[in-house]
Amino acid sequence: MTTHADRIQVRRLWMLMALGLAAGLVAFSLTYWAQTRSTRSLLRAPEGELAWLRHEFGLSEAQFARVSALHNAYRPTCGELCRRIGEQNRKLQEAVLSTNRVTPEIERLVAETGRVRDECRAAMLKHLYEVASAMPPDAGRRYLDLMLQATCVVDDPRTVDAVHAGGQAHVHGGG
Amino acid sequence: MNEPRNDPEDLALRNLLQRWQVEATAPPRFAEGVWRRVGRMAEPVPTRNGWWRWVTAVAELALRPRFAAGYLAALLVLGAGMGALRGQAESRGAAGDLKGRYVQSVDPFFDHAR
Repeated sequence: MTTHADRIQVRRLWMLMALGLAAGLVAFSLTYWAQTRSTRSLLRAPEGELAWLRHEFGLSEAQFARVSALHNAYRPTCGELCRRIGEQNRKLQEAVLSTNRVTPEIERLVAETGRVRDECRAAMLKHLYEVASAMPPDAGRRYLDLMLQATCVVDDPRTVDAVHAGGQAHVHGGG
Repeated sequence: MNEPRNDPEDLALRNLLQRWQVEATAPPRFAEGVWRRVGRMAEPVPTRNGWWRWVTAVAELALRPRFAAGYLAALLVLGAGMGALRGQAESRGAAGDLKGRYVQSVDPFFDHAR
């Protein structure tokens, strides 16, 4: 059996549950917003990737200015290298698709493609080392570990420090 | 209370209202019906199943101040915790995106090797 008082009590129970859910939702929203605030500002920044670099490696104002200058100086070079790689790939692809055997032209283009890639890789490595040297030593090592793996220059998951610890020799894999 | 005015227009209105007779009558046993409805509100209403007993028991427990405060506090903590975890996951994902953008900006092989 139920009375009018029971119905009021149950109505208050629903209100309490709704209030609790609303409070939980507000708490969720506030903490989510607080946690993602810095990341959202990085994403909105004009050169967000440089802002990320500064945040990730804890660079000071002077260090960040130096790294930014290196980055901006390298960008035209990177663009040109990218263009040359693309052009070389296109030429090689056209030559390969136009025949069914390895012609002297194909051999020449393969060699040229390799040379362009080597030049590009050396320029990129030079830039990475320059940027690492502009950072604090620990940050620079961490930067190199991250970038050498991200750019597939090294397959080895060992860090730069681990490879050179105690004069350990490089291991060339395969067999 | 205001003093009755001796305004001729007011007197005329008063006379007209006194002549107005309401001819409608209340239904038979009208008062008895009203009191019966009042009594019904206070009477227990038979429920069709037992879940209502369970709900009222929960309501009686949950509406106690300590329990209600504990419930609200628990949901606040749970909501904040889940928001923090979700925010951390989102931040990690966004950091990964930014890292990818940086790598793409320095690696001339990025567009050609992937």
